[in-house]
Amino acid sequence: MAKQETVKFITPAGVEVSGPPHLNKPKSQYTAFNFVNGFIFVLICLIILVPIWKVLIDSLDLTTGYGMKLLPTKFGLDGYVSIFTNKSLLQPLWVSVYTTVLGTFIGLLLSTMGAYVLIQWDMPGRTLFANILLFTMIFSGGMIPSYLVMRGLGLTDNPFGPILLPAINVYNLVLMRNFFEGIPKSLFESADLDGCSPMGAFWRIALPLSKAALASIGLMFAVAYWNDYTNFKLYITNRDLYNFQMKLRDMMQSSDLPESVGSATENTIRNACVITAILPFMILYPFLQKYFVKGINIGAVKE
Amino acid sequence: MIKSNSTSLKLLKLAKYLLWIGIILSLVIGILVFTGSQAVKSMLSEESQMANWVTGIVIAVVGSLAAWLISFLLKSFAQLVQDTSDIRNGVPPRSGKTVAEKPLLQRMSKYWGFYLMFIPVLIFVAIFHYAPMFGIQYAFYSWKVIGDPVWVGFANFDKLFKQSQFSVSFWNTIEFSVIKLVLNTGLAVIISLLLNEMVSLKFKKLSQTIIYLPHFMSWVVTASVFSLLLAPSENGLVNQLLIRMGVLDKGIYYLADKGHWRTWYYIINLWRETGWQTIIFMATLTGIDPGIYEAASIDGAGRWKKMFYVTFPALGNTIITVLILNLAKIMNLFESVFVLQNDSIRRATNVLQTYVYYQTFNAGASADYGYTTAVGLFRSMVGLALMLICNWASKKVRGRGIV
Repeated sequence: MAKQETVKFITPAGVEVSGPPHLNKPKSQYTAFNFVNGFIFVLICLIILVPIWKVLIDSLDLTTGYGMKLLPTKFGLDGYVSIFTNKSLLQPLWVSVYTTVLGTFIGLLLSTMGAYVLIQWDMPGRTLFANILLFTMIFSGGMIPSYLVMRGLGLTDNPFGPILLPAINVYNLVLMRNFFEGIPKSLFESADLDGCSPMGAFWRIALPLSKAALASIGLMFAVAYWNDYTNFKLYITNRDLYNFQMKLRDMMQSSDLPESVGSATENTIRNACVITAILPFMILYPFLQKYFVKGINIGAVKE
Repeated sequence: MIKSNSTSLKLLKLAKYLLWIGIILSLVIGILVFTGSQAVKSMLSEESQMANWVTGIVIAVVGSLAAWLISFLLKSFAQLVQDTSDIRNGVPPRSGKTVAEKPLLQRMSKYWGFYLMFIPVLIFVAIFHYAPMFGIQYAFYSWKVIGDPVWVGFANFDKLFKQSQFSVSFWNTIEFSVIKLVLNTGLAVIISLLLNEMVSLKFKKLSQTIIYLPHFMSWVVTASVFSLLLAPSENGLVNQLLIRMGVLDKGIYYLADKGHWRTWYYIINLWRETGWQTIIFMATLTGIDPGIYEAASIDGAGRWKKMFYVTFPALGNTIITVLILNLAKIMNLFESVFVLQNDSIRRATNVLQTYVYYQTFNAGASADYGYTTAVGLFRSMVGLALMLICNWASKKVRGRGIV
């Protein structure tokens, strides 16, 4: 067997090895594979963005027939002006805002308190508490019994129905517990020795140390509340209590459109409404993305 | 000689007996009803003309599950008592847990602050999760919108299995969620593999930001965007594109046609969820030790060989996990179908949850809370069975359950 030529070199991981010489060559970035790969992702990003772009430019276009184009032919903000000067659209927007703020607050409070109790491993009854929560994940009464309970409690046609119901989210609570488990036990022990009450340790140790998790889970709650449609559809029939998603759905399905201001057409207002529904989030999203990814990774990858 | 605590032993025994008695009792009653025993039938109801076999099976399943739940709760309590007495007798607790060496009440008093903190959580869970479970009883009543519930026994289940709408919805639920799951997971794996090979880090970050984006748009917004995009008029982008390319003469109303609706349902799901699903696969891929790749390339493996022999085996476990986790939840399908439906194709595209919704809230005076609760109970039962199967599978595959 012919002796292979070997050379010594240092790998990217910093280990010195000897091997065939082709390994020592720095890899070119401009290979055909990388080019095709990059092209595929340009395509994927376009597929994702084109629908959103189409809605965005149509919301700024005042002509009647849109057809296909990249930029609006007759630019104008009348669609948005129609939305923000109209009470029938401002009211749902306000409902969306306050249910999101209140719901996220209550949801975070419940998840952190529940999670904090569930990491007390020596507490009598801890397993029972955990099982009570976990059982709700595998079995539920169903849509109609839930509706009947809500109706019995007077939570239908009441904004507190869609605020309180999603606030107890066992999945988020378990995520929070997973995060709390990472806090060193010795911190709680020394707090206990220094005479800190359980509640005190919760506010002074557990919460300040889990700001990233609070941000992730708070964002999950906020998105769920802002996007909530199912709970409103089930429990709210009074039009004054509709949130923006309900209003948007109504407008898409019927001609229940607000009076247009200026020369905004029906379609322009529809498109403008879709954009208004996603705009607050679109602005924040690039800054918050890492928290979302972190949130899903706390729960999913932890083995 | 270790002395066992007699109370906990009694409790454990009770739990065991209860489980078996419950299961046997439900089976016996189930079989009696199954074979059409007149005595049992007259006890249930006179006017209900039930299919005996359905009723029998339902009694057997519901009874066994109830017995299992009760014995499960009893067992957890017995474990607690046992641990306490073990500690008192000076032996390590048999459950393996470490507990302070103090009597139960004294230990509990140390944690009073925590119990207080848990009360709000318990109240919320009791109201919003456990109270509806008691509402399951209405599956055995007829409860029109006006009037009081009337006991009908198993007539609702009898009616349900005769409704063609019910079986259409049931099979739709399975079909939609399984096809959706396979398509989304498959594409997500391919995209994550390609994303992982990306050289330019900036472009990789940008791509990730963009492909996660649709997940945060609500289903209502997604449906609105696509109904604008798929409109048959001159405003619909897809129809315009196809007409200009000469494929179509005239716009098609995609979301009002049975066949097209399904295709677009899957496409819209792919558009919205695939990117988000890559997160979990990317986490696995970045978790692979680069040393393994290095060792492989020193052994002469190229890009493809590394992919086949290093990346795929590492991903395999994650793929199975994702499939199991999602399979357990397939009965929950609701909002995505609901917002994309319209009147013309509703009957053909109903899933169980939307069927329940329309039967209750869109049926006017003929709505029957009892009947729709029965449909919901059937859905919950199938969901529970799937959960237990997936939990078992998950324990086999990755050594821990899903809940």
